[in-house]
Amino acid sequence: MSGHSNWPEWIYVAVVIALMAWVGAEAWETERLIEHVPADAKTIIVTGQQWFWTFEHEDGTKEIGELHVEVGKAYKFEVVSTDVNHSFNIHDYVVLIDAIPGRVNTVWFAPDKVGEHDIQCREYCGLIHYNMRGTLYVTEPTS
Amino acid sequence: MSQNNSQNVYRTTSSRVGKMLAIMLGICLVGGVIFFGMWDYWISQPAPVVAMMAGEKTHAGPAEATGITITQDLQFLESADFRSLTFNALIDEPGANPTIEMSVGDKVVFNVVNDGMSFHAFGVTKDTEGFAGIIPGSEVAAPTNPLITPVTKPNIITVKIL
Amino acid sequence: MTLELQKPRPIWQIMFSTHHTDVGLLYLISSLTFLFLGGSLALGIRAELFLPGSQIIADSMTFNRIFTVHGTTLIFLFIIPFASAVGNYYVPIMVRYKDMAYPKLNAIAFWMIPPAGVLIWLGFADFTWYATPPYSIISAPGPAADMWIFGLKILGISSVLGALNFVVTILKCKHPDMSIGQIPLLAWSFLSSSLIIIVAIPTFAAALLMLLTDRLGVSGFFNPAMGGDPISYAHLFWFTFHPEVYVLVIPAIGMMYEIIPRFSRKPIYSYNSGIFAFVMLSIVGFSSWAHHMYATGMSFTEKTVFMVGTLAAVPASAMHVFNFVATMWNARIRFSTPMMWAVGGIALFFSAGAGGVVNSAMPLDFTTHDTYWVVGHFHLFVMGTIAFGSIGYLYYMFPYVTGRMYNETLGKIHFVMSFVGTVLVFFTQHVLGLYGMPRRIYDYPPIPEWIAMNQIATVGAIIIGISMAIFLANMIYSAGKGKPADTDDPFGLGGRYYYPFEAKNPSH
Repeated sequence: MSGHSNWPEWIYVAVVIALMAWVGAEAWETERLIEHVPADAKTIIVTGQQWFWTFEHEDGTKEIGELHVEVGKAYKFEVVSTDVNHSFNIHDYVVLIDAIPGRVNTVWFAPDKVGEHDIQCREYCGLIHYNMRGTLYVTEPTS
Repeated sequence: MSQNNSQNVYRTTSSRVGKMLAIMLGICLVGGVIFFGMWDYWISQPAPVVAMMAGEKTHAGPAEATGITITQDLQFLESADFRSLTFNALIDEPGANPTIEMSVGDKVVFNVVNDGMSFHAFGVTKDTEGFAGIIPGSEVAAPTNPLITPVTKPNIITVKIL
Repeated sequence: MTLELQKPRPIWQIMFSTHHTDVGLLYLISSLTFLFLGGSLALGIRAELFLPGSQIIADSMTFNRIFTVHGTTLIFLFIIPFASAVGNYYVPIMVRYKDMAYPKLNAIAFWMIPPAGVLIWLGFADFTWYATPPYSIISAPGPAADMWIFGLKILGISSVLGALNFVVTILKCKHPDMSIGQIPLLAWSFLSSSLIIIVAIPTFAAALLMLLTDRLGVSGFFNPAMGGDPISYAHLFWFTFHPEVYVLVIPAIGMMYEIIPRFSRKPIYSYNSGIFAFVMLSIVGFSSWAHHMYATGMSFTEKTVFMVGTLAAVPASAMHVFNFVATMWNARIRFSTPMMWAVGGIALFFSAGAGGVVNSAMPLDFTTHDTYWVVGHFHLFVMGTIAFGSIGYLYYMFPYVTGRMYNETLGKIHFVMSFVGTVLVFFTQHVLGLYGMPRRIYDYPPIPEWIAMNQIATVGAIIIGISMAIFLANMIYSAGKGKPADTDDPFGLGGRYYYPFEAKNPSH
């Protein structure tokens, strides 16, 4: 084939494979941890529709365009859509899951600081996809 | 390739390149004229499945015209907190959301103006919510081609009420 | 084998010809036209996103249509036809055969492209180049949507016909004295990408047909209201389009395999590694499609399987990078325009791949999915690698096709400006994505970091645009009035220029 030695290439490929294996293992472990929903997480039903978000808390409180949660508590979002695909996203907390009509997708988070964050739609859904936004308010616990 | 060595090389000329560019530019211009000339057409029709999904609505045939025409101006308004969407006056104010009384066979003309802060489309429907039940022919603008504010777009629609 | 074979022929004779060089030329001209059309749309997008609020585009519907047609045009009407142009022109030469295996079919495959292009451009649909249901069924308005579907159907058929032609030509029509292990790597790249096309495209053809019948209401494959599942479209689409991205990149890498060894005046470091890497990439590329769907609600196991499949393809791509770097090591490199484009392309290919590893890691994808990180990532591939490789190869084949030389200084200026512009736009967009800006948005809130990065990206895009205008002027002027080139060695490399393999029987 070729008159030169190719041990550099073998070493290089081995390094690349090792690197990919490491990325894969770390990713697997991290995902395994973040997919484990805490048992005490409160459920919030998130409904995406063209072109706004609505939220329903466990106690029946409904909110449109805004979501109020308490710091230090775990919340599990059950995300649904009534028309086309949307994607529920709170970027600052890396909350991201698609809202697909006909199914319920689940994602959870536990905010650790008081503050205001943006909620946005991360799946193209038409005319006002760019403005399908909301606000997350993380407040001190009331009790 | 050894056979290329002995072959004479014939090259193109600027005039032929120019001719080719003129052809392509001409095609683009013709296409542009067709596209922009029919600007509203290309995105004007919802997919046939949308009408099917709206279900079987009994839209009986038009009634006999009585000759009476009622005109109703509708000025679409949004309250400052966006929670109330009304016609002609804000909620709880006099004149908000007018009621139109008419008989079968009358013609009603709606002049719709969008004075809200964002895009909207309108239509006449029997349902209390949703737009699947909008009576065909009564639409003012469309979800994909809405009334932009603040533009006056009077739209004369004829509705035969059953 | 320059533009005019015997004597200047009427243009209609070139248009109706079935000879592989003529069909290659037609593909070339058509793909370059769509490059400029699609690129202009990109400039429109970047101008609009310079600041929050409406700049030059009045409403979001128009913006949505612009980015849909931008993506559709550049992928289906530029990258794939450009590869077909190079393949048609050179594969028969590389395998020492007189034409492609099926010349008339070849011409038919080309002539499907202009009508499909017309359908796509006249309609200007708005549902992104993925056409994901349910939006594309219940919300996207026609006839634009239906015209897009028909246009893509035609393009898919054209691709498959071209792919069949390449496979038969390379495997069955190659010179009897030539073994498969002796054809140039560019020919191997066409063999790989054509085999991928034949396996992958029919899935999308089915999905398109299902989309159409869903829109008509006669079926409910993807429409939840009629019992369908939108996610099944995502599977069908990405099963085709993940391998398809390898179809896009493999010919460009093949083109770099022509340029880099020659301009380094050294043989390729490892021809066999090149073959192995192409074949492995083609096969492993089929195992990773649902990494585009991590956010749809797949189970942990599914996500893991696809992450492994994605990571498995990285060593194959890395082998190509190693091959090029090792070839250039200690070489007397001549940095003419084609070489600059090829080397720049490899550097950007490496950065694109590195960013891609981030996306493939499941949890990291939740930060980057559907943000500008992804936009920056794939543009580093399609612009940084594929367009750079293609444009470099265009400069390389220019003297061969036209018999004249282009202006070398302008070619180098084109490269430097495009490289700087590409880095400015797409590296910045990676950071912009980390700050959370979603894709496909007409307007964005006035977050200072977003505004600053969008402005940097727009400046980069303008630099690319100006360089492309210089490129167009260079090509047009030099085709008609450039200095006549020495077709045996236009770049002054010394030694043989094209396809040094000699048939054992010289009269073939």
